[in-house]
Amino acid sequence: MLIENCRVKKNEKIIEDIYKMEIINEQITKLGKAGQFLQIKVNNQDTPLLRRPISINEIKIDEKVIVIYYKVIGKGTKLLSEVKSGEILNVIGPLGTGFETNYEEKSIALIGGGIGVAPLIELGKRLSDRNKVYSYLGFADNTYLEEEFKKFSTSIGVSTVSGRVGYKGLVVDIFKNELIDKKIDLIFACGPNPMLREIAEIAKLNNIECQVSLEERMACGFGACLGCSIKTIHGMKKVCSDGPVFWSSEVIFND
Amino acid sequence: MTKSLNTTVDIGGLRINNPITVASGTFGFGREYENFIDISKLGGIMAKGLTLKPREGNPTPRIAETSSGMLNSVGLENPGVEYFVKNELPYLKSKGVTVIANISGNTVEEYCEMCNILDNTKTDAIEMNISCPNVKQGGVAFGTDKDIVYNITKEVRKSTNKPLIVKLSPNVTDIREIAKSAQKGGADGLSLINTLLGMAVNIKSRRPILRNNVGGLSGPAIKPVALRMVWQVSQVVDIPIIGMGGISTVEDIIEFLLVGASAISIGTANFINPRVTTDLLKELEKYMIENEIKDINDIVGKIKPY
Repeated sequence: MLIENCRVKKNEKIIEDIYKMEIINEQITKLGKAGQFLQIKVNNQDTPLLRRPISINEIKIDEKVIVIYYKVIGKGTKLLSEVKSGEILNVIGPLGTGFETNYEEKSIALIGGGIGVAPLIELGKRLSDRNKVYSYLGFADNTYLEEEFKKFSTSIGVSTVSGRVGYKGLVVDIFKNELIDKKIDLIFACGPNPMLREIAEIAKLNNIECQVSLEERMACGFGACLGCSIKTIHGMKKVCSDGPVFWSSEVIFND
Repeated sequence: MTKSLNTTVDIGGLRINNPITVASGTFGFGREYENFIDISKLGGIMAKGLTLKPREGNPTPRIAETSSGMLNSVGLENPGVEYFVKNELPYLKSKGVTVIANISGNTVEEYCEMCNILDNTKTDAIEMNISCPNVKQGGVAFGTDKDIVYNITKEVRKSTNKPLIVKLSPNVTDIREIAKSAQKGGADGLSLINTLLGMAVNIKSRRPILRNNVGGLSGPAIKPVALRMVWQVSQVVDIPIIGMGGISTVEDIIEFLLVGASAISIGTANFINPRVTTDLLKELEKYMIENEIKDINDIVGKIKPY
């Protein structure tokens, strides 16, 4: 893993509180995998003190560009949203293990919830060469990134809690209705914990392999602080360095 | 280090090559930082806090960010002292690292048993943690009463021939009294300070951000408190002090040495810049040259108070 000063190529609002940023770094684009993340220092001050862990969402090797999507939640991400093209950010990465992608001739479901849809883009791009990819995207109200998913997906299901676009309700419900017809035999999921827990249960019930990308508050991002430890059937594991991607069958989800 | 400079310091009978060590709980067992730095360059590593039996720690969230600081409620997640001796210590020693094992117990007997186990190993020193704010038994409960501190230090002293450093809690009325008790009980050195007990709240959910409700505050926010405590304690004890609390620059290090610390630990800053220790070592050497300091010990305690 590297500590790099990276130039920001673009930083723009997509919808509401979701932003897209392009960061230039040749080394990280070469090393980075779908499901890994970056630790970004949003300024050179003591506040915010910690870096912000943000998933690698797309890698454009030719342009030496890493694309990240992030949601403005607190002070740190607010400051990140104010960074201008040409500015330099200090970045540690790529961090974490990433998704296991060595598959062929599978019927794969990608299930994303909220900002959790973004890390599935690079994954879908890589998997769609040799597999059939079905994407299921869940949002609260406004939707984004559907066009990106259309590029590599055999079909797309979209849900919004508000009902503004697509199915009114939770994305897991669309997936449940289709999983038999589409003969899904592999699941990748990223999103809020209750969603992942439900998907893990469905996967278990239907005997389908399932990888989930988890999120926890963390300080370092490289395994030192033990802030992001979770319970698994193999004992305590760190979301940052043992994950963030785990087999759903090994995670013991919190209540 | 340049030959003409002396950076060797003594921390209670243990001589270390330079005064820069790392605070327990911020550096794992060293391996996590090997992707970034040569860990043998450090004065020493205070390894992740150990208990007699493995501990899972507290539920998440365990981290909350605050102004110029962070709260943690990890709760001493660790694989236990025997695992450390078998799987982590040999590796660190093979790398030439000075290893200070940090121990926490639920009872005096547990501290003594851990010392017995560590005494037959290549551990260079023991840091006795009587100041963890995140565990129900032991921890800070031992560290806030001067009579208990005296008794526990006296008993643990009998269980080890290694240099014994006692890590003190800032969550006390008068840290000088606690420090004197540790010295009287036989401590060879003192580490101060551990984290300050704090809290952060999510006003939307009306819940604390930490699942443990409260946690230990660290980072630049606590540096003034740490400096004040090191200064106060250095005036009432004769044993070396390892100063820590929010250090992230070479100026911070100098401040701690001036108020009486013989060595320092870097903690939270490691999370933000995993190369901070070796960066600061270079800067310290540069500072010494620029300010014509031949021996780093020459500035220890040289503050000129009003």
